Amino acid sequence: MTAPEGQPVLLELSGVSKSFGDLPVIAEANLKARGGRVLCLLGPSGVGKTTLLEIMAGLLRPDSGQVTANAPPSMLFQDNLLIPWLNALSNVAYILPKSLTPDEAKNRALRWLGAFGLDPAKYPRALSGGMKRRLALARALAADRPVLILDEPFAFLDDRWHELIATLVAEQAQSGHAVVISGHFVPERLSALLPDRLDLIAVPSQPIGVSLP
Amino acid sequence: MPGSHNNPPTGGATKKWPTLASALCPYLVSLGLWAVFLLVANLIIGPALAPGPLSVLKTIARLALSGVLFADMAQTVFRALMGVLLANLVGGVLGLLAGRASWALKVTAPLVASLQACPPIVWVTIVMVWAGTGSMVPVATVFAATLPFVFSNAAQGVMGLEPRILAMGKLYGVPAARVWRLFILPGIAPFWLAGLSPVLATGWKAAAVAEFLGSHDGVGAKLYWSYQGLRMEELQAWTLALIILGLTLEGAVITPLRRKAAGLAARGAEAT
Repeated sequence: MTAPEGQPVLLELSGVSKSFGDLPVIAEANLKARGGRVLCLLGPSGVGKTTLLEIMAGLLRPDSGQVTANAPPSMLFQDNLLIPWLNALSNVAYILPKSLTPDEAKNRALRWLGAFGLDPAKYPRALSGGMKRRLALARALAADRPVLILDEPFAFLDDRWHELIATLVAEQAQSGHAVVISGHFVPERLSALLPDRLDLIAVPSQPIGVSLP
Repeated sequence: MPGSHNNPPTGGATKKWPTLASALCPYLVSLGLWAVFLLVANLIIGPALAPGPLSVLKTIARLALSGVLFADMAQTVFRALMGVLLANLVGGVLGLLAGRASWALKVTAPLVASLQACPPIVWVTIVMVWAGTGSMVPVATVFAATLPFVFSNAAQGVMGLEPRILAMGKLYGVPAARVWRLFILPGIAPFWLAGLSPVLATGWKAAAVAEFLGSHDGVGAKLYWSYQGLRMEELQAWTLALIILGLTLEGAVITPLRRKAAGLAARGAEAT
């Protein structure tokens, strides 16, 4: 059994609160994303999981509280955020660091597109909903950041892809990345692969006031 | 498919002719109506003030053979294009910047709207007072008349971009040059192309008006000198030259641009 306390904290939320108008969505949330572990936020749609993840990623500013991270994370967005006029290869290569040479960037993008069974030459308009989701996942994983935030990674995909994503997520955690996942469930495959590295947090209703030591 | 190798293609060249004829038909009908109009005017007003279509065509042929027609047409086209190009450079850059800051767009909205409504004669007068007559008048008039359109198209194009993709670029530290090259500029291209067709049409008309009032040469100026000398064949010939140039611009540049812009916009809309 791997004790959570023994793993390095790569991203931390301390007393984070966020409201939209009069509606409090997050109230005093305290979370730690640790390297080598997968933090799962489980709850129904519309409860504020995406808001919490976007605060973690630095895309939304909290009303109060603090977000501390060693490096900016990589994120799978709920709405994919694909660039319509770039093909799959360019969509992935778009976010890769400029320190990579063009060949290195291309090879890395092709490797992840291949892992998700995607044609690098296809444009988003030619992809189904599930394929777009896989392309967005390939992009998030290709970024290779210490913290990986995945907003509903299993949505729009069938069991076959659940298995693959669960395997990839497990590999990320086993190689020291901190992974944060939101969704309605945890696939059995992920539980089987990482029986002692999952931190499950239920967020059944608003405002989210979760705490994880 | 059986027989597909044996049968010679029947479409190809023969199909092109009906397409070309149907494309030219509206233009020929318009020219025919113009000829009818001249004929009727000739009968009612008389040949001194309303020459018939045949004498106008003869004048056009004479002007074309002497080279004057093409030289002045080229002059006018060059000036209009210079004005449009400058407006695209200045208005495009300003519009791109304003599109990134909604407050800038809000603050400049009344000015842009009033400039769009401003008739070209205002710019002609101002430039004539400041710079005298010559090429500067049509170029500056076209620039001023088209600038607000370019500005607001570029700004709207930037505002139409998905801001979360820009935020994603920041999250991943995507270099600014890459963001502009791969996201912003291709993203505003449909707006720019859609805006370019009214810009070209406005620029063309503004160039002719500006030359009429403030230039020594060009099609607009030739119209003025024909009017001054009451050389009605030449007046009608230059009018026809202007109309033909306008139709060519519409058919060869503006319509394809409009189609391209609509295609790009549809592709962008269906992709996400």
